[in-house]
Amino acid sequence: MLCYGKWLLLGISLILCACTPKLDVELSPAATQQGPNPPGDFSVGLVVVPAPDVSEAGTGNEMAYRAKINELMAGNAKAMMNTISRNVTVLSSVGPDEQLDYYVVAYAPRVERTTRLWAMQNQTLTVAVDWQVLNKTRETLLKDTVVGEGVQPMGNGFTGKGNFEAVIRDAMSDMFYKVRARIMPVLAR
Amino acid sequence: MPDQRCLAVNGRARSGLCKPNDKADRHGRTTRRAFMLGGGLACVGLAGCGGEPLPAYTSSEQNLSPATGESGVAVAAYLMRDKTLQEKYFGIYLTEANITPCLISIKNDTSTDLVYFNAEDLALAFNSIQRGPETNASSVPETHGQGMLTAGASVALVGAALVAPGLQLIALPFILIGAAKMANSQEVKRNILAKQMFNKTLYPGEAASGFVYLKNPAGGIPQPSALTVNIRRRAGLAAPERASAYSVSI
Repeated sequence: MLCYGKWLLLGISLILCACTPKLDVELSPAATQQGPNPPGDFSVGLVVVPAPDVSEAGTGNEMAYRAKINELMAGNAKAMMNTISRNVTVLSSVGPDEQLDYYVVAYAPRVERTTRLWAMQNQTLTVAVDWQVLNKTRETLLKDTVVGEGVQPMGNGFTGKGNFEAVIRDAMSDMFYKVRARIMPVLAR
Repeated sequence: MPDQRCLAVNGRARSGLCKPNDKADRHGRTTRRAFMLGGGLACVGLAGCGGEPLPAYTSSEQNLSPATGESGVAVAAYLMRDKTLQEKYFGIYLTEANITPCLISIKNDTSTDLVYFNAEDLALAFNSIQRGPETNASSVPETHGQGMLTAGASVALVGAALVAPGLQLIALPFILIGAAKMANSQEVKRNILAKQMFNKTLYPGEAASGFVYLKNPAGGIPQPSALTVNIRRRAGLAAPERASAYSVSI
């Protein structure tokens, strides 16, 4: 009886264990792929504002995934804008000397994660990013907070890392998909 | 010399090579199998509970109180005080955690104007107000015996504050963890974010709605009596941006 109990406990612990992930997310969200309309000829300046100090955002895993999301923001915002315009320039800020048609500013992402106890239950990751679109005379065309959500099972000791990466990818993809859908008509006006 | 594989544990054979030939052995195996089966079922049962998605709130026009303000933009709000409704749509009685959800609806009925809604630019009016030592008169204007809290001033007030919506994404769910049942606390947290209203730009004909979460003042201060939604609007891109306030009795 005791021996079987040990095996049972080991089995349960494997099911429950959502391992500590080393994040390795290769993000290729559908939102950054070419849409039905070809990119426009207007020029766009892109500014991605990262969190000022990620070390203050949390500790351990929390800090790791926030840092990862910051990193993903920068690369994928550029990829997304390339599907909207052929002429995208990455800027550090919108300076007075810039002479571009539009400016798109993405502010530091905020994230919230819910976790579950059991492997088969779903975890969620919510990413909220403030986006601002300015025209060449610096008038605000859009100032929206866009929220993306990813949902994946918690997974066990074998699948937990992959599921955690997948939930980040899903949340970012969802967010970029919505942003693209929101920005496209504004720039086409 | 006894077969080592047949060594008994607690008087029962533990190896399959040793055939059980008494009732106790058969009973023991049956008990172990029942225990394992029960454990497995318990795991499956527990995994299935606590994750029920909460329904989306569909507002009806009767619930929403229209705001007074400049024409062209329809603003309305509804303070959800009812315990049954809160438990249905948020999975928890939020008021017990000193938070009241407030549904805000905005529609741009103009043909030219751009409307900017900033979720942090809200103000609450109370019938009376308790001031903290750092609060100055300019941030807490008083008219006709009423007091007003702005989101920006809330930090300076002692024991009475509007949860700054910009901070809710991180801060608010953790407030609720203690109040929610452990089984559904994560779903409660996710659901609060899903129903929240964030910053939004409304072009002509566009509308938006969602909840903001008002932190009730603690310690005997009355419930809010009015909500002011401050939006910014401009009549076309060439026109200057201006502020426009809409007040709703809640």
